[in-house]
Amino acid sequence: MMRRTTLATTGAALALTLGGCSSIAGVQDAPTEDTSGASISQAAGSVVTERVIGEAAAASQATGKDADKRRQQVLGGPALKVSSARASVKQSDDKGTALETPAETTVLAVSKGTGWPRSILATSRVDEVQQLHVLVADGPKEAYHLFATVPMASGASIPAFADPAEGVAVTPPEGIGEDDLGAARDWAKAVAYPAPKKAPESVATDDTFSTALQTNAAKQAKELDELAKYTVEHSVGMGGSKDDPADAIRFELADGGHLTIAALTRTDKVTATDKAKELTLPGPLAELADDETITEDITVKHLEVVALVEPKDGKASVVGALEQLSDVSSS
Amino acid sequence: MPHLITRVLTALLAVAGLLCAAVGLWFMTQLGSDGRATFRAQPGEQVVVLGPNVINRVESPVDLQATTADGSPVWLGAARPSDAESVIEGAPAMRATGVSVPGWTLETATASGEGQTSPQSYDLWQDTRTGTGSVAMTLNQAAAPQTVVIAAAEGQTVDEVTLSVADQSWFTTAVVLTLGGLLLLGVAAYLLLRTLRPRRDTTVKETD
Repeated sequence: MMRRTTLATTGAALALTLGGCSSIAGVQDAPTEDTSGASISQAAGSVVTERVIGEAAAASQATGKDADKRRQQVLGGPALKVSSARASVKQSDDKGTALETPAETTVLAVSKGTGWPRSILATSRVDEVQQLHVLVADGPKEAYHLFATVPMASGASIPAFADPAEGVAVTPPEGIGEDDLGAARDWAKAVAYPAPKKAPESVATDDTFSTALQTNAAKQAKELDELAKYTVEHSVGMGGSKDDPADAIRFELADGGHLTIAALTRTDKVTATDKAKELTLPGPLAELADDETITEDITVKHLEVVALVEPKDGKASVVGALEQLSDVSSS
Repeated sequence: MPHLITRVLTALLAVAGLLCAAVGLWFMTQLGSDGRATFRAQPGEQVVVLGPNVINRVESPVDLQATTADGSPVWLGAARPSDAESVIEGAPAMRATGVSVPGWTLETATASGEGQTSPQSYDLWQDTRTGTGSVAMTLNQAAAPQTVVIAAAEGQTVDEVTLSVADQSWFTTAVVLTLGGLLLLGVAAYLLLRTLRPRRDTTVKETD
């Protein structure tokens, strides 16, 4: 009896002690890396955005021999083309395309996953105008550059994105296909002048930017009356009439829709009719064309950056847009 | 024979108890009541890398501090392991491989490579700190796994890196271990006393 009691006591004491000895509380294997989370944290994204916009603003104001090089270092895509056009074209009023350093930025969405390129969509407020900024980094050793900045229309809003901590699906410029630009093409068609006989049904054009384009075009045509033929074309891409899919990026919305930031080119053409001996150009246009009158035609090109919300169900609409005069040619 | 078994068990219990009590007591004095373990390394290299196998093995926050000798600038950044590796791979750096006790050292190994690297120039860091002479960061494990890279200015070296983790349960474990050891010693003492006590003769003698 005594022997059994001794053995039981000893066994229990050993089990208790060895259990305590072997337990090293809380030490475990490191978790494996999650390849589907946000590509950059919201806090780090905000720091990067503020730095890049500050550098981009300084570069876009730069003049002199190294100005182009400075712009190329911190700008890319539509932002670089707009900034270069702004630097090369004399314009009396360029407010709206000039980059300014915001006091504070808020990250709305970042691309998901560990792959490259990576993107950040941020917003800031400068002079009561809400701006959208898109930044893209092409690789781990490449710094983020400013891909596009678009001022938002007054009162416009963007539907919610997924939690920034999780990241959102982004179609980078290199991955943009023909189908991704369907809404941008439809919008370009809808705001052309003369207006198409059958307006595309997939886009709404009742926003302030689209309405202003249509109203101004009609007013211009009316002023020219029978003296000249006036047309306005919008084409996707900034390479003129040739589409350039690399100048767009898409962020997936929480409802499955998309926010598309696309670059377009607007081409205004005034062709004098037989009834006009010559046309006198308005002051700013005459300055740009380096001629006060034209006898045949004048073509004015603007670079456009448009932010389009494409909900999963319903019509796409423009929530922000920017225009920059890029070229004037006349004869 | 039963006496022999009891004596062997008593000896084993006494040794185990003494060992556990000594180890538990030593950990209690080393960790303190907040259960803080601090490991140190003297890398003497410009770049030091601490991977998730060192900094993400506990659920408690990990405090890191790096110092340079002459008050030169020092930078510290945390990133996803794959991101950090993509910019550090192939560069000369000192890598932390683990921690060791009882020396409380952060074990390191030198990874040879060519050229200079400036990890602070990349945009893939989730969190960064910059300091003059020293820099510190607390990793709260929410973004685990992460790799931390510490970089001194060009031509300078990181003189010391400390990694500190506080876990109350470690102190509790040390206390339990000490008490468990004392319990074993108590049981061993009880058994020893029983063995040494003279046995009563239970044989009933028949009387005429």
